[in-house]
Amino acid sequence: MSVLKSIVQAVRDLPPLSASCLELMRMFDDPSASLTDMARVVERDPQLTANVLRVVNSPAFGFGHSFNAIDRAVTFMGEQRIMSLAIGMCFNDFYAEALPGYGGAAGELWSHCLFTAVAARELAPLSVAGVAPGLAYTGGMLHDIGKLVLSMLMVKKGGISLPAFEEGDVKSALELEKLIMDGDHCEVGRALAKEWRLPEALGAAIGFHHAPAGAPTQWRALAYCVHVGNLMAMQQGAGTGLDYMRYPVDADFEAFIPLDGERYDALHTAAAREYVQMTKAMAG
Amino acid sequence: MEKILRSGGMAVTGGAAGAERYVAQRVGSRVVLVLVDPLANVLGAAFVGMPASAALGKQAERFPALFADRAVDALVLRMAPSRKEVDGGGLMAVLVGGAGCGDVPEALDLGGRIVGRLREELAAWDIAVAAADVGGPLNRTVCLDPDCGVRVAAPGKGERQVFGPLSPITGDGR
Repeated sequence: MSVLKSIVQAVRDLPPLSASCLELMRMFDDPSASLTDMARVVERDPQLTANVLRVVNSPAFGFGHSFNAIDRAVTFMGEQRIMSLAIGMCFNDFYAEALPGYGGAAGELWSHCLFTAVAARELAPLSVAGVAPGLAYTGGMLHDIGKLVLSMLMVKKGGISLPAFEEGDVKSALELEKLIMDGDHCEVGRALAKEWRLPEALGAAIGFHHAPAGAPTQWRALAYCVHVGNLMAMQQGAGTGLDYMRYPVDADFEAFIPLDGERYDALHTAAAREYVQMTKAMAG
Repeated sequence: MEKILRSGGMAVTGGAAGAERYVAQRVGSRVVLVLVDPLANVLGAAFVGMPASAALGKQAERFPALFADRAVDALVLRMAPSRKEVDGGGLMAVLVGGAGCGDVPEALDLGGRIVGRLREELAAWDIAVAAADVGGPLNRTVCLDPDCGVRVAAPGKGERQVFGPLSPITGDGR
Protein backbone atom coordinates (compact mmCIF):
# COMPACT_ATOMS: atom_id res chain seq x y z
CA MET A 1 0.00 0.00 0.00
CA SER A 2 1.39 3.48 -0.86
CA VAL A 3 2.20 5.93 1.92
CA LEU A 4 -0.66 8.17 0.85
CA LYS A 5 -3.12 5.28 0.86
CA SER A 6 -1.86 4.19 4.30
CA ILE A 7 -2.46 7.69 5.65
CA VAL A 8 -5.96 7.90 4.16
CA GLN A 9 -6.81 4.46 5.57
CA ALA A 10 -5.40 5.35 9.02
CA VAL A 11 -7.47 8.55 9.07
CA ARG A 12 -10.59 6.49 8.37
CA ASP A 13 -9.65 3.89 10.99
CA LEU A 14 -9.37 6.43 13.80
CA PRO A 15 -12.15 6.00 16.39
CA PRO A 16 -14.97 8.48 15.74
CA LEU A 17 -15.46 11.55 17.91
CA SER A 18 -18.79 11.73 19.71
CA ALA A 19 -21.70 13.38 17.89
CA SER A 20 -21.87 16.08 20.60
CA CYS A 21 -18.21 16.93 20.17
CA LEU A 22 -18.53 17.25 16.39
CA GLU A 23 -21.66 19.35 16.77
CA LEU A 24 -19.94 21.68 19.26
CA MET A 25 -16.93 22.17 17.00
CA ARG A 26 -19.15 22.92 14.00
CA MET A 27 -21.13 25.45 16.05
CA PHE A 28 -17.97 27.45 16.88
CA ASP A 29 -17.90 28.53 13.25
CA ASP A 30 -21.64 29.12 12.87
CA PRO A 31 -22.48 32.80 13.43
CA SER A 32 -26.11 31.92 14.13
CA ALA A 33 -25.18 29.55 16.99
CA SER A 34 -25.00 31.16 20.42
CA LEU A 35 -23.07 29.87 23.41
CA THR A 36 -26.46 29.09 24.95
CA ASP A 37 -27.19 26.79 21.98
CA MET A 38 -23.86 25.08 22.65
CA ALA A 39 -24.76 24.59 26.32
CA ARG A 40 -27.92 22.80 25.12
CA VAL A 41 -25.75 20.40 23.07
CA VAL A 42 -23.75 19.56 26.20
CA GLU A 43 -26.94 19.05 28.21
CA ARG A 44 -28.28 16.58 25.64
CA ASP A 45 -25.23 14.34 26.13
CA PRO A 46 -25.49 12.74 29.60
CA GLN A 47 -21.89 11.50 29.64
CA LEU A 48 -20.47 14.85 28.57
CA THR A 49 -22.69 16.68 31.06
CA ALA A 50 -21.57 14.39 33.88
CA ASN A 51 -17.91 14.88 32.94
CA VAL A 52 -18.20 18.66 32.74
CA LEU A 53 -20.05 18.86 36.07
CA ARG A 54 -17.45 16.61 37.72
CA VAL A 55 -14.71 19.00 36.62
CA VAL A 56 -16.65 22.16 37.52
CA ASN A 57 -17.35 20.74 40.99
CA SER A 58 -13.71 19.83 41.63
CA PRO A 59 -11.91 21.63 44.49
CA ALA A 60 -9.54 23.16 41.89
CA PHE A 61 -12.24 25.69 40.98
CA GLY A 62 -13.16 26.23 44.63
CA PHE A 63 -16.75 27.43 44.26
CA GLY A 64 -17.67 26.10 47.70
CA HIS A 65 -20.88 24.44 46.53
CA SER A 66 -21.74 21.91 43.85
CA PHE A 67 -23.55 22.45 40.56
CA ASN A 68 -25.99 19.84 39.29
CA ALA A 69 -26.88 21.48 35.98
CA ILE A 70 -24.91 23.01 33.12
CA ASP A 71 -26.93 26.25 33.07
CA ARG A 72 -26.15 26.87 36.77
CA ALA A 73 -22.45 26.26 36.14
CA VAL A 74 -22.56 28.67 33.19
CA THR A 75 -23.92 31.39 35.49
CA PHE A 76 -20.87 31.13 37.74
CA MET A 77 -18.08 30.26 35.31
CA GLY A 78 -19.26 31.91 32.10
CA GLU A 79 -20.28 30.25 28.86
CA GLN A 80 -16.84 30.54 27.29
CA ARG A 81 -15.11 28.60 30.07
CA ILE A 82 -17.79 25.92 30.25
CA MET A 83 -17.60 25.38 26.50
CA SER A 84 -13.80 25.19 26.70
CA LEU A 85 -14.16 22.53 29.37
CA ALA A 86 -16.67 20.60 27.28
CA ILE A 87 -14.37 20.60 24.23
CA GLY A 88 -11.44 19.64 26.46
CA MET A 89 -13.40 16.72 27.93
CA CYS A 90 -14.28 15.47 24.42
CA PHE A 91 -10.55 14.94 23.74
CA ASN A 92 -9.57 13.65 27.17
CA ASP A 93 -9.68 9.99 26.14
CA PHE A 94 -8.92 10.61 22.49
CA TYR A 95 -5.52 12.12 23.31
CA ALA A 96 -4.60 9.75 26.14
CA GLU A 97 -2.46 7.45 23.98
CA ALA A 98 1.32 7.70 23.71
CA LEU A 99 2.91 8.94 20.47
CA PRO A 100 5.53 6.24 19.84
CA GLY A 101 6.45 7.64 16.41
CA TYR A 102 7.50 10.87 18.12
CA GLY A 103 8.90 9.36 21.33
CA GLY A 104 6.02 11.02 23.20
CA ALA A 105 4.71 9.49 26.44
CA ALA A 106 1.03 8.85 27.21
CA GLY A 107 -0.73 12.08 28.11
CA GLU A 108 1.81 14.39 26.47
CA LEU A 109 -0.39 15.11 23.43
CA TRP A 110 -3.26 15.95 25.76
CA SER A 111 -1.14 18.35 27.87
CA HIS A 112 0.36 19.98 24.79
CA CYS A 113 -2.98 20.52 23.03
CA LEU A 114 -4.71 21.78 26.17
CA PHE A 115 -1.97 24.37 26.83
CA THR A 116 -1.96 25.43 23.17
CA ALA A 117 -5.75 25.81 23.30
CA VAL A 118 -5.68 27.93 26.46
CA ALA A 119 -2.84 30.08 25.08
CA ALA A 120 -4.55 30.55 21.68
CA ARG A 121 -7.71 31.67 23.49
CA GLU A 122 -5.68 34.23 25.49
CA LEU A 123 -4.07 35.48 22.26
CA ALA A 124 -7.34 35.79 20.31
CA PRO A 125 -8.56 39.11 21.83
CA LEU A 126 -5.21 40.71 20.92
CA SER A 127 -5.50 39.72 17.27
CA VAL A 128 -5.97 42.67 14.92
CA ALA A 129 -8.46 40.61 12.90
CA GLY A 130 -10.74 39.79 15.83
CA VAL A 131 -10.49 36.03 16.24
CA ALA A 132 -13.28 34.40 18.28
CA PRO A 133 -11.69 33.05 21.50
CA GLY A 134 -13.74 29.82 21.37
CA LEU A 135 -12.61 29.13 17.82
CA ALA A 136 -8.97 29.77 18.78
CA TYR A 137 -9.34 27.41 21.74
CA THR A 138 -10.84 24.66 19.59
CA GLY A 139 -8.19 25.17 16.90
CA GLY A 140 -5.52 24.82 19.60
CA MET A 141 -7.15 21.67 20.96
CA LEU A 142 -7.16 20.10 17.48
CA HIS A 143 -3.97 21.47 15.93
CA ASP A 144 -1.81 18.34 16.38
CA ILE A 145 -4.52 15.76 15.77
CA GLY A 146 -2.63 14.60 12.67
CA LYS A 147 0.11 13.29 14.98
CA LEU A 148 -2.25 10.59 16.25
CA VAL A 149 -2.35 9.09 12.77
CA LEU A 150 1.21 9.85 11.68
CA SER A 151 2.71 8.46 14.90
CA MET A 152 1.19 5.02 14.25
CA LEU A 153 2.52 4.97 10.69
CA MET A 154 5.94 6.47 11.45
CA VAL A 155 6.71 3.96 14.18
CA LYS A 156 6.77 1.25 11.50
CA LYS A 157 9.59 3.22 9.83
CA GLY A 158 11.57 3.81 13.00
CA GLY A 159 9.90 7.07 13.97
CA ILE A 160 11.56 10.39 14.73
CA SER A 161 15.01 10.31 16.32
CA LEU A 162 17.38 13.01 17.52
CA PRO A 163 20.26 11.82 15.28
CA ALA A 164 17.98 12.31 12.27
CA PHE A 165 17.71 16.00 13.24
CA GLU A 166 21.31 16.45 14.29
CA GLU A 167 23.07 14.49 11.55
CA GLY A 168 20.63 15.08 8.72
CA ASP A 169 20.67 18.90 8.98
CA VAL A 170 16.89 18.87 9.24
CA LYS A 171 15.55 22.18 10.52
CA SER A 172 11.99 21.34 11.47
CA ALA A 173 9.83 18.45 12.60
CA LEU A 174 7.70 18.87 9.46
CA GLU A 175 10.75 18.38 7.22
CA LEU A 176 11.62 15.16 9.02
CA GLU A 177 8.04 13.87 8.85
CA LYS A 178 8.05 14.47 5.09
CA LEU A 179 11.37 12.64 4.73
CA ILE A 180 10.04 9.65 6.67
CA MET A 181 6.42 9.56 5.50
CA ASP A 182 6.15 11.77 2.42
CA GLY A 183 3.54 13.75 4.37
CA ASP A 184 3.34 15.81 7.56
CA HIS A 185 0.97 15.99 10.51
CA CYS A 186 -0.54 19.28 9.28
CA GLU A 187 -1.62 17.68 5.99
CA VAL A 188 -2.89 14.59 7.80
CA GLY A 189 -4.77 16.77 10.30
CA ARG A 190 -6.47 18.66 7.48
CA ALA A 191 -7.50 15.35 5.92
CA LEU A 192 -9.01 14.35 9.27
CA ALA A 193 -10.86 17.67 9.53
CA LYS A 194 -12.29 17.04 6.08
CA GLU A 195 -13.25 13.47 6.96
CA TRP A 196 -15.10 14.76 10.04
CA ARG A 197 -16.63 17.65 8.07
CA LEU A 198 -15.26 20.22 10.51
CA PRO A 199 -15.60 23.92 9.66
CA GLU A 200 -13.09 25.34 7.20
CA ALA A 201 -11.69 27.59 9.94
CA LEU A 202 -10.62 24.60 12.04
CA GLY A 203 -9.15 22.87 8.97
CA ALA A 204 -7.06 26.01 8.40
CA ALA A 205 -5.95 26.19 12.05
CA ILE A 206 -4.86 22.54 11.89
CA GLY A 207 -3.32 22.68 8.42
CA PHE A 208 -1.40 25.94 8.79
CA HIS A 209 -0.33 26.11 12.43
CA HIS A 210 3.32 25.64 11.39
CA ALA A 211 3.10 28.02 8.42
CA PRO A 212 0.30 30.49 9.22
CA ALA A 213 1.22 32.85 6.36
CA GLY A 214 -0.12 30.22 3.96
CA ALA A 215 -3.57 30.03 5.55
CA PRO A 216 -6.56 31.40 3.60
CA THR A 217 -6.84 35.14 4.28
CA GLN A 218 -9.97 34.94 6.43
CA TRP A 219 -8.40 32.33 8.74
CA ARG A 220 -4.83 33.63 8.80
CA ALA A 221 -5.15 35.46 12.14
CA LEU A 222 -6.63 32.30 13.68
CA ALA A 223 -3.69 30.27 12.33
CA TYR A 224 -1.26 32.79 13.90
CA CYS A 225 -3.02 32.49 17.28
CA VAL A 226 -2.54 28.70 17.19
CA HIS A 227 1.03 29.11 15.82
CA VAL A 228 2.09 31.29 18.77
CA GLY A 229 0.00 29.28 21.25
CA ASN A 230 1.86 26.15 20.12
CA LEU A 231 5.19 27.86 20.87
CA MET A 232 3.94 28.95 24.30
CA ALA A 233 2.97 25.36 25.16
CA MET A 234 6.43 24.07 24.28
CA GLN A 235 8.08 26.88 26.22
CA GLN A 236 6.11 25.78 29.30
CA GLY A 237 7.53 22.27 28.86
CA ALA A 238 4.38 20.80 27.29
CA GLY A 239 5.84 19.09 24.21
CA THR A 240 4.98 15.93 22.32
CA GLY A 241 8.33 14.12 22.30
CA LEU A 242 11.49 14.29 20.22
CA ASP A 243 10.15 16.96 17.85
CA TYR A 244 10.30 19.42 20.77
CA MET A 245 11.11 22.99 19.63
CA ARG A 246 11.96 21.90 16.06
CA TYR A 247 9.66 24.72 15.14
CA PRO A 248 10.56 27.74 12.98
CA VAL A 249 8.61 30.76 14.24
CA ASP A 250 6.99 33.02 11.65
CA ALA A 251 8.29 36.51 12.45
CA ASP A 252 5.28 38.11 10.72
CA PHE A 253 3.13 37.21 13.73
CA GLU A 254 3.33 40.85 14.89
CA ALA A 255 1.23 42.00 11.93
CA PHE A 256 -1.58 39.80 13.28
CA ILE A 257 -0.94 39.77 17.04
CA PRO A 258 0.97 42.83 18.28
CA LEU A 259 3.06 41.58 21.21
CA ASP A 260 5.96 42.95 23.22
CA GLY A 261 7.90 41.00 25.82
CA GLU A 262 5.88 42.26 28.78
CA ARG A 263 2.56 41.44 27.13
CA TYR A 264 3.84 38.03 26.10
CA ASP A 265 4.95 37.25 29.65
CA ALA A 266 1.56 38.31 31.05
CA LEU A 267 -0.17 36.00 28.54
CA HIS A 268 2.13 33.15 29.56
CA THR A 269 1.30 33.71 33.22
CA ALA A 270 -2.46 33.81 32.58
CA ALA A 271 -2.39 30.75 30.32
CA ALA A 272 -0.22 28.75 32.75
CA ARG A 273 -2.58 29.54 35.64
CA GLU A 274 -5.66 28.47 33.63
CA TYR A 275 -3.88 25.34 32.37
CA VAL A 276 -2.89 24.24 35.88
CA GLN A 277 -6.43 24.83 37.16
CA MET A 278 -7.98 22.85 34.30
CA THR A 279 -5.58 19.92 34.57
CA LYS A 280 -6.07 19.70 38.33
CA ALA A 281 -9.84 19.82 37.92
CA MET A 282 -9.87 17.22 35.14
CA ALA A 283 -7.65 14.91 37.19
CA GLY A 284 -10.36 15.02 39.85
CA MET B 1 12.67 9.75 47.96
CA GLU B 2 12.37 12.51 45.36
CA LYS B 3 10.45 15.69 45.87
CA ILE B 4 9.00 17.62 42.95
CA LEU B 5 10.13 21.21 42.44
CA ARG B 6 7.30 23.04 40.67
CA SER B 7 7.35 26.22 38.61
CA GLY B 8 7.71 29.18 40.98
CA GLY B 9 8.97 26.90 43.78
CA MET B 10 12.17 26.99 45.82
CA ALA B 11 14.03 24.24 47.65
CA VAL B 12 17.13 23.96 49.83
CA THR B 13 18.89 20.66 50.42
CA GLY B 14 21.96 19.75 52.47
CA GLY B 15 23.49 21.42 55.50
CA ALA B 16 21.09 22.15 58.34
CA ALA B 17 18.13 21.52 55.98
CA GLY B 18 19.05 17.82 55.63
CA ALA B 19 19.78 16.09 52.32
CA GLU B 20 16.85 15.43 50.01
CA ARG B 21 16.61 14.94 46.26
CA TYR B 22 14.55 17.38 44.17
CA VAL B 23 13.36 16.99 40.59
CA ALA B 24 12.07 19.69 38.24
CA GLN B 25 10.31 18.03 35.30
CA ARG B 26 9.90 19.26 31.72
CA VAL B 27 11.55 22.59 32.31
CA GLY B 28 11.12 23.77 28.71
CA SER B 29 12.09 27.43 28.26
CA ARG B 30 11.83 28.04 31.97
CA VAL B 31 15.04 27.86 33.98
CA VAL B 32 16.14 26.02 37.09
CA LEU B 33 18.57 28.24 38.99
CA VAL B 34 20.79 26.29 41.37
CA LEU B 35 23.00 28.03 43.92
CA VAL B 36 25.76 25.89 45.40
CA ASP B 37 27.70 26.44 48.62
CA PRO B 38 30.44 23.78 48.33
CA LEU B 39 31.88 24.47 51.78
CA ALA B 40 28.55 24.06 53.58
CA ASN B 41 27.50 21.28 51.13
CA VAL B 42 24.21 23.07 50.51
CA LEU B 43 22.28 23.42 47.25
CA GLY B 44 19.36 25.76 46.70
CA ALA B 45 17.11 25.75 43.65
CA ALA B 46 14.48 28.04 42.20
CA PHE B 47 12.24 27.09 39.24
CA VAL B 48 12.03 30.38 37.32
CA GLY B 49 9.22 30.81 34.78
CA MET B 50 9.26 34.48 33.81
CA PRO B 51 11.93 37.13 33.16
CA ALA B 52 10.33 39.98 35.16
CA SER B 53 7.68 40.53 37.79
CA ALA B 54 6.62 44.07 36.82
CA ALA B 55 3.46 43.00 34.96
CA LEU B 56 2.10 41.18 38.02
CA GLY B 57 2.62 43.96 40.57
CA LYS B 58 1.97 42.94 44.18
CA GLN B 59 0.88 39.43 43.18
CA ALA B 60 4.53 38.70 42.33
CA GLU B 61 5.50 38.98 46.00
CA ARG B 62 3.79 35.64 46.72
CA PHE B 63 5.99 33.72 44.28
CA PRO B 64 9.33 35.53 44.02
CA ALA B 65 11.09 32.43 42.66
CA LEU B 66 8.87 32.53 39.58
CA PHE B 67 10.56 35.71 38.34
CA ALA B 68 14.17 36.09 37.24
CA ASP B 69 14.38 39.62 38.67
CA ARG B 70 13.50 38.35 42.18
CA ALA B 71 14.60 34.72 42.28
CA VAL B 72 18.30 35.24 43.15
CA ASP B 73 17.49 37.51 46.12
CA ALA B 74 14.80 35.12 47.34
CA LEU B 75 16.98 32.01 47.02
CA VAL B 76 20.00 33.56 48.79
CA LEU B 77 17.69 34.48 51.67
CA ARG B 78 16.08 31.03 51.72
CA MET B 79 19.49 29.36 51.89
CA ALA B 80 20.79 31.57 54.70
CA PRO B 81 19.69 29.39 57.67
CA SER B 82 21.25 26.25 56.16
CA ARG B 83 24.48 28.02 55.20
CA LYS B 84 24.62 30.21 58.32
CA GLU B 85 25.47 33.04 55.88
CA VAL B 86 23.21 35.83 54.71
CA ASP B 87 25.18 37.07 51.71
CA GLY B 88 26.23 35.58 48.37
CA GLY B 89 29.87 35.01 49.38
CA GLY B 90 31.13 31.55 48.50
CA LEU B 91 28.16 30.74 46.26
CA MET B 92 28.31 29.44 42.69
CA ALA B 93 25.42 29.22 40.24
CA VAL B 94 24.24 26.55 37.83
CA LEU B 95 21.63 27.35 35.17
CA VAL B 96 19.58 24.67 33.40
CA GLY B 97 16.75 25.05 30.87
CA GLY B 98 15.88 28.04 28.71
CA ALA B 99 15.02 25.89 25.69
CA GLY B 100 14.51 27.71 22.41
CA CYS B 101 13.90 27.06 18.75
CA GLY B 102 16.62 29.21 17.28
CA ASP B 103 15.80 32.36 15.39
CA VAL B 104 12.85 33.96 17.21
CA PRO B 105 11.96 37.61 17.79
CA GLU B 106 13.23 38.78 21.20
CA ALA B 107 9.72 39.24 22.63
CA LEU B 108 8.99 35.55 22.06
CA ASP B 109 12.39 34.32 23.26
CA LEU B 110 11.20 33.45 26.75
CA GLY B 111 14.16 31.23 27.65
CA GLY B 112 16.78 33.69 26.38
CA ARG B 113 15.22 36.53 28.32
CA ILE B 114 15.02 34.51 31.57
CA VAL B 115 18.66 33.37 31.27
CA GLY B 116 19.81 36.91 30.43
CA ARG B 117 18.02 38.42 33.41
CA LEU B 118 19.31 35.74 35.80
CA ARG B 119 22.88 36.34 34.65
CA GLU B 120 22.45 40.08 35.37
CA GLU B 121 21.08 39.42 38.85
CA LEU B 122 23.84 36.91 39.62
CA ALA B 123 26.47 39.42 38.49
CA ALA B 124 24.95 41.99 40.84
CA TRP B 125 25.47 39.50 43.70
CA ASP B 126 28.97 38.70 42.43
CA ILE B 127 27.99 35.04 42.04
CA ALA B 128 29.84 33.26 39.22
CA VAL B 129 28.02 30.88 36.88
CA ALA B 130 29.99 27.65 37.31
CA ALA B 131 27.97 25.60 34.82
CA ALA B 132 25.18 26.21 32.37
CA ASP B 133 23.16 23.79 30.27
CA VAL B 134 20.81 26.18 28.51
CA GLY B 135 19.13 26.80 25.16
CA GLY B 136 18.55 24.52 22.21
CA PRO B 137 15.58 22.25 21.49
CA LEU B 138 15.72 20.18 24.71
CA ASN B 139 12.90 19.70 27.20
CA ARG B 140 15.10 19.06 30.23
CA THR B 141 14.36 17.40 33.56
CA VAL B 142 16.69 18.46 36.38
CA CYS B 143 17.63 16.41 39.43
CA LEU B 144 19.68 17.74 42.33
CA ASP B 145 20.96 16.67 45.72
CA PRO B 146 24.17 17.28 47.68
CA ASP B 147 25.62 13.83 46.95
CA CYS B 148 25.02 13.80 43.19
CA GLY B 149 25.15 17.49 42.40
CA VAL B 150 23.06 18.56 39.41
CA ARG B 151 22.03 16.02 36.77
CA VAL B 152 20.02 16.72 33.63
CA ALA B 153 17.98 14.38 31.43
CA ALA B 154 16.17 15.08 28.16
CA PRO B 155 14.15 12.88 25.77
CA GLY B 156 16.54 11.07 23.45
CA LYS B 157 19.61 12.32 25.33
CA GLY B 158 19.70 10.22 28.50
CA GLU B 159 20.96 11.65 31.79
CA ARG B 160 24.23 13.44 32.40
CA GLN B 161 26.09 15.30 35.11
CA VAL B 162 26.12 19.06 34.71
CA PHE B 163 27.64 19.95 38.05
CA GLY B 164 29.17 17.87 40.80
CA PRO B 165 30.24 19.44 44.10
CA LEU B 166 33.90 18.59 43.64
CA SER B 167 34.35 18.68 39.85
CA PRO B 168 32.30 21.35 38.14
CA ILE B 169 31.85 20.90 34.40
CA THR B 170 31.49 24.14 32.50
CA GLY B 171 30.16 24.77 29.02
CA ASP B 172 26.98 25.50 27.25
CA GLY B 173 26.10 21.81 26.92
CA ARG B 174 23.71 21.87 23.99
